[in-house]
Amino acid sequence: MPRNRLWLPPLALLAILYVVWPWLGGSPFLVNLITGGVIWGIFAVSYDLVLGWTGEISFGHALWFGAGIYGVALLVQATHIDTMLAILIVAAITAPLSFLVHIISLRLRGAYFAMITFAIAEFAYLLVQNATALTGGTNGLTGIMLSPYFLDPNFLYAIPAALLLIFVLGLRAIGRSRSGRIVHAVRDNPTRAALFGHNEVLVKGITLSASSALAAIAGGLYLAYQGMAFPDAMSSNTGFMVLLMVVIGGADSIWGPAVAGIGLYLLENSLTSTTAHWSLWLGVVYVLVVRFLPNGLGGLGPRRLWAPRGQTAILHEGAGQSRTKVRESNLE
Amino acid sequence: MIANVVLAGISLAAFYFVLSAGLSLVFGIMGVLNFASAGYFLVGLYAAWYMLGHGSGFLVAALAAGLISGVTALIVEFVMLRPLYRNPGGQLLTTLGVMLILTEAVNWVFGPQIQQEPMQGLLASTLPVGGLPFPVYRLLLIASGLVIYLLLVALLRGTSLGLKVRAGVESQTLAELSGIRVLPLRSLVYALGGILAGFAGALYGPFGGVYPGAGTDTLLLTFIVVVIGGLGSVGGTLVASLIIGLAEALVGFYAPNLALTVNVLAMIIVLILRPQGLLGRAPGRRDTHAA
Repeated sequence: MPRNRLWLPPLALLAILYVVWPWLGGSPFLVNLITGGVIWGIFAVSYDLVLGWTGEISFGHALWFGAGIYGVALLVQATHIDTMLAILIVAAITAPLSFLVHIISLRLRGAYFAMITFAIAEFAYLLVQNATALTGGTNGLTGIMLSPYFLDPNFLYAIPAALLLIFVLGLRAIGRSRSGRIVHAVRDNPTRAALFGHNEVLVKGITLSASSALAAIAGGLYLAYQGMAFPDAMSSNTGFMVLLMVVIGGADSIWGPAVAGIGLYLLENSLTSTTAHWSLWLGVVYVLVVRFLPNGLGGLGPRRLWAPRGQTAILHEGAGQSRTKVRESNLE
Repeated sequence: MIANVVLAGISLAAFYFVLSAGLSLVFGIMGVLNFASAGYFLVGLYAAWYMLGHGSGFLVAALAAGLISGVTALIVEFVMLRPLYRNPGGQLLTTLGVMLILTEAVNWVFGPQIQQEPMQGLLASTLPVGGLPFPVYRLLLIASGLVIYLLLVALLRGTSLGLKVRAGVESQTLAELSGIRVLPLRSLVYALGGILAGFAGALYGPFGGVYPGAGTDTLLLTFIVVVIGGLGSVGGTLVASLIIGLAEALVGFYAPNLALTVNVLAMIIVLILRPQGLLGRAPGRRDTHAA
């Protein structure tokens, strides 16, 4: 076995332990809590494609999570098809929709891109709240006929974990592949990448649409987990929360946001009962991470293990300066 | 009746102007979308409410609220933003964190419940306008907006400090080359943004209510106004405030649920068609690199 595959056996063992744990007497409360955490882990991984891979800050990622929640809820309600199939169909519809939205949004850069994503997500949130006939408004959608396997808490616990594992391993492989390198090249120096024939808007648009599809899958699973759809799940707070998770986890490491997503969800839901001011500490930790740990959790640990492709911190000093520099040098 | 609605729209516009002018200026000189503004707004809201409850007059309370928020902003700029000077992404993320921290801190100290703003005397009374009662307080809003606008214009157009600020907004590099020390200027404008947000918070209490979610609730409106007006332009902010205030009052009069939706839609359309806003000049478009 090559040295760089040494992590495979322990990971496989961990996965097996994870899956059989509920049958070995894991507490139903914890099983339920971890299920939610893993679903948020998927959501956080999807946002890493935005912040880590494209280097853009979007405040509207909750929209795609909500698209998954409401899309699956409405589809299952209307057709009574298999829930997992519905999740995949909704993700497949979300991808081109998101591509379209982002091709338009990507005409703007920096703070303007951040604002248009925020505005579009808020617009969708307001529509969902007001389209009472379709979405039930603030009362939400309840009584959704989920497939039986999602009603068994142990399966509900295993399915998102399997998906998260596939996504993390798959995305890390894609990140190292030719396509992944192109995405990173476009992020780090769009002008130079353009000279090699890679259109910035197209590359980022495709990445963002993949990210939205993953977020929709997370949303669909979240619907299965909650059993109902509420507009609050797609409020701006959800968008801020996933951003915090990815920053703390470390943008561009994929595994970091997965860990942070699970960890912060667990902390939030176990600590809110003991300290009411969990969000305050979260905010403080987040601000410190932005300042002192621009690579987040993903920047900790031996670099060779976690950062095989010479990661660049997108939040480093000087990040995002290349466009201006280029423009100035054009003037000379 | 329409006169009453229009006047209400103008008073809303005055409030939106005070709320957004600071954000617009800060973006102009620092290039930072200042989410923390919502936090300073909240600090001002609670500071004014606290002082009103302890026997202070409204104007004194509002000015003190602006001062407290301004000092908060100055500390934040010095401790958290200045080290990230060359990292606009990091600054944007930090201001979001500051907003969350301030919101949560206020929630901690004062609790999540909606507080009653104690208003008495003239400010709690109404005048008949167009056959309907019109709160005198809203006239104070209009006056405040007007005074703040005139003060800002006087500061920016009439003083050497304002000239430096405008130079910094126009081009940071050129301003530095002309011997202007931009760093203290940034702190100053950032603190001014805090003062304006805090003052806006004090104005919000009597008609919007005093609760910890007020900052994030008004955040979207601030963004709408600065985007439509053009980030960095005080005149643009004023025009956009009038448009949004009147639109909200008029649309809200006929279809209350649609008012915000219509405004958000207007923001999206402006961002797509004219990202620099109605009167702004900063290019928001991405340089497109055709393959």
